[in-house]
Amino acid sequence: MRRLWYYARLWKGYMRIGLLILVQYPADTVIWLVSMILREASGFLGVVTIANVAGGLGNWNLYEICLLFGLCAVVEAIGQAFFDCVWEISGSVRKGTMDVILVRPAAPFIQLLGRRFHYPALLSIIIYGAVIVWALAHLRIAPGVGMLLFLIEFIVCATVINSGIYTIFNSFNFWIVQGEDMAVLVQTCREFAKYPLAVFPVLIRSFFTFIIPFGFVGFYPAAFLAGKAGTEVVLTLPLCAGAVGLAAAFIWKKGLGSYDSTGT
Amino acid sequence: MSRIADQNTNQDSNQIQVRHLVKEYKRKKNKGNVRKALAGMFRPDYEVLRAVDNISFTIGRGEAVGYVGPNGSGKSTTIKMLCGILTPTEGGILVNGIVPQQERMKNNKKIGVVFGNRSLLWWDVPVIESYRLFQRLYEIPPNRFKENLDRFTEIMGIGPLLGIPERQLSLGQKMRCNIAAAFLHNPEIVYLDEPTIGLDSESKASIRECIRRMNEEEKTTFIVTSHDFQDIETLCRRIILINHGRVVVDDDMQKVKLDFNREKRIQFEVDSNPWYHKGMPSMEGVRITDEKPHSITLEYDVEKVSSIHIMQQVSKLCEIKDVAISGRDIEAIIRDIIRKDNHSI
Amino acid sequence: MQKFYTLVRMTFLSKFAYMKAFWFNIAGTATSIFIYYFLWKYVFRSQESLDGFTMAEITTYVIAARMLSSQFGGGINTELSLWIYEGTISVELLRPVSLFFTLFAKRTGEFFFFILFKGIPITVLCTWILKGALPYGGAEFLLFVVSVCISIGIMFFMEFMVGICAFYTHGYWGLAFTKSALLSILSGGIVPLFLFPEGLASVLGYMPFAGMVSVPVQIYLGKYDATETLVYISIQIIWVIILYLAAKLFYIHMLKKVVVQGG
Repeated sequence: MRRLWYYARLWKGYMRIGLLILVQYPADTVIWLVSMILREASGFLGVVTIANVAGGLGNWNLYEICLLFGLCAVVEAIGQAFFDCVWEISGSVRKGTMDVILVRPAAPFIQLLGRRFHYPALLSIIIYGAVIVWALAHLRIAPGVGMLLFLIEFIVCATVINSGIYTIFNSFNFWIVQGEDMAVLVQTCREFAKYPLAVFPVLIRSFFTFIIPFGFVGFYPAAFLAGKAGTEVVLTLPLCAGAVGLAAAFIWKKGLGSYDSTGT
Repeated sequence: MSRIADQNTNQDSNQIQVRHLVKEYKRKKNKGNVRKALAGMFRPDYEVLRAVDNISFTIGRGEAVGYVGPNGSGKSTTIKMLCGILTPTEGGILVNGIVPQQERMKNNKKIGVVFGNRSLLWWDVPVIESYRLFQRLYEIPPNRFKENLDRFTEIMGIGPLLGIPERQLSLGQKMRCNIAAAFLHNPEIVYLDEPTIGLDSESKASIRECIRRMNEEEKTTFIVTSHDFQDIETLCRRIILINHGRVVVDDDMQKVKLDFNREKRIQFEVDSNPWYHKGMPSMEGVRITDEKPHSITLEYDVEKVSSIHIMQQVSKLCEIKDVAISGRDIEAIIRDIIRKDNHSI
Repeated sequence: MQKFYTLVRMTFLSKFAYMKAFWFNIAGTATSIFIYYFLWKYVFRSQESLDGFTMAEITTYVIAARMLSSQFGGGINTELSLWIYEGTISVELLRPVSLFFTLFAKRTGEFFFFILFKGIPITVLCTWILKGALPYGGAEFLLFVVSVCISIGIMFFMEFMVGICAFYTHGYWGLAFTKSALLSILSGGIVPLFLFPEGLASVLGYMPFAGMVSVPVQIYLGKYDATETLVYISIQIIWVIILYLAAKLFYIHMLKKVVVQGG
């Protein structure tokens, strides 16, 4: 309990520093904001245009596709806001700055995350949150306690899955030089999960369900909300999050253990 | 009861214990392609580099130890193992009775670390904000934090710098801020890895002063690695010299100076150098290090030959205008020890 | 010219040193081609053609568009931004050749590397596997090559201006991401421009962005007749000139800044 309090205070400290950085560079803040929204929006535009032309994709109509996109984008934005520093693992290993983290008395992963927060992403969370609400309203899905609980479950679990997968692949930097390129490739592959997986061949669908479970970040939860999937989603989501979370923790720990600081 | 007391005194004289420490770097052979690299993650294919080779020493509370050696001799590797950043291949480390690798966070609370080549502060925010974060990180009580902050801003002269982001500071200012940061949580041990690298003499002086004061007033233990032997000479009473990952000398600074300072240098200004271009007649225990038409510099072994004898010999052949005799500084001594050590391998 | 060749060669070779990382980049582009291929395939299940495009033509559009717009992720803007952050820009300005020249040579080297190791092999492979349409004819193919070469000019000057924006920011990732996302959308790299609302589509057709993806690909597929082709290529050339002038203004502004800040 005391430990928890300690980390809460520390987190607050990191958030304060993040805020200070934010106001130091107003131009950067604006550019980050634009870039974050555009990164998700470019794919969004593509699928909406295609769905518009075809009058939907498979049995997914335009609003359902928007819902799927909103869910995916919110999770990614949360990742950008608080977990973006997992992308700095490669640089830290190469330059040996991981040392600095290791001589301080707090969990290294928390310290890594605390290096920088991207507050602009909070605004994209709001924007994509609005997209979700808008899509839900058009789909005439009645809001209720059940849905709210599911959305909370989704946010927590999907964030763990999404950022967990990034952590896993970025942690490969502890062993191989091309770790970051690999993680970027994984991020590109994540594009698949922004579209109704049902459209893709079985092989791709099972890949994003069982191997790299990005399907749980958008497709399955959206299918559940749209009434295309049953309660099994509610149950498998935390299971999947647990598995990815454990794997990420294991690989991060292993990686940190094999970290050989650059011998200067 | 007596056992606990016993342990405490034991810990005082053995605050840091290093036993048969070995660190082998495994340099991956086939980094080249990804498939092999991935395979290498599970089935390593390495060539082994022994950076630290069977080092043992003990350091007591309040000691200030200079840990020196040429580039690549394993200094930083040892320091990193003491901090718990690197895991030893063999051998054991005990710091304050705990193994730093196993209880790294517990150990981290009691140590302060300064890396000369990388900063511990936040680049983009005012220095004071980094310090405030350290207060949370090390759980420093508010009044003690304030007390320490005042004290170290005074010692290091960084009062006017606190409101400035680190990126706008000069190298010397950065280092002073970093050193102050390392002391904020009253560490029992402070490791300084090349603290004065690339600094001007004023910054060096204030850093030395700070270390000296903390060592005297707080009985903080210091381990300093440096290329600058003046640092070591002014700060440390004890010197550990390593070469090729092994301890070559571990002794009191003054004793090292006495023991190894058998060589002295004598320099003559003369009307004309009688040996210039003619070669030196051999004199036992003397060698020429430099000769010019009007000056000669000789080094000699004080136990084999006296300066008077040399002067007599020289004055027979030419007229001496000036003489200067100097002992060698610690840097020259250490260079000599290392040269001999390299030969013996 | 000798200098130019040397610089191009140097960039080419240094890119070659990162070949292993480049494999991942290639895989990433291939992935995005597959995503859009499958999406379009789904659309074409229920219809034969779309605005005069057959499935084979759309497949080729996707391959070529994703391929050409994958260049937006690179470019000289990151390098220029880095020079500005690290203050090495003043050193670069002291070199006996102009910054424009050095950077353009670098960009050319990067382009050749892209064409040789990614553009040609992946386009050929994907067209074969996904059964895309072949170029409409020999003349169209040649004009496509010309159009792609002109598009390098457009890209270069835009990258140059984006790079200089680093004087006002402190991290270049945001700039690079923004540039790449924006260009992908506006150039028709994500979806063909003709699918946008009519007014927007025609405006975008005349913008410089279209010259980087939409125009060359449409020429390749023979969607433009002779006069249209000529008009669009002329528009590309006009944009190169306009962007050159704009970049020059940016450059002059930058020089002033460098002098004031001292790098």
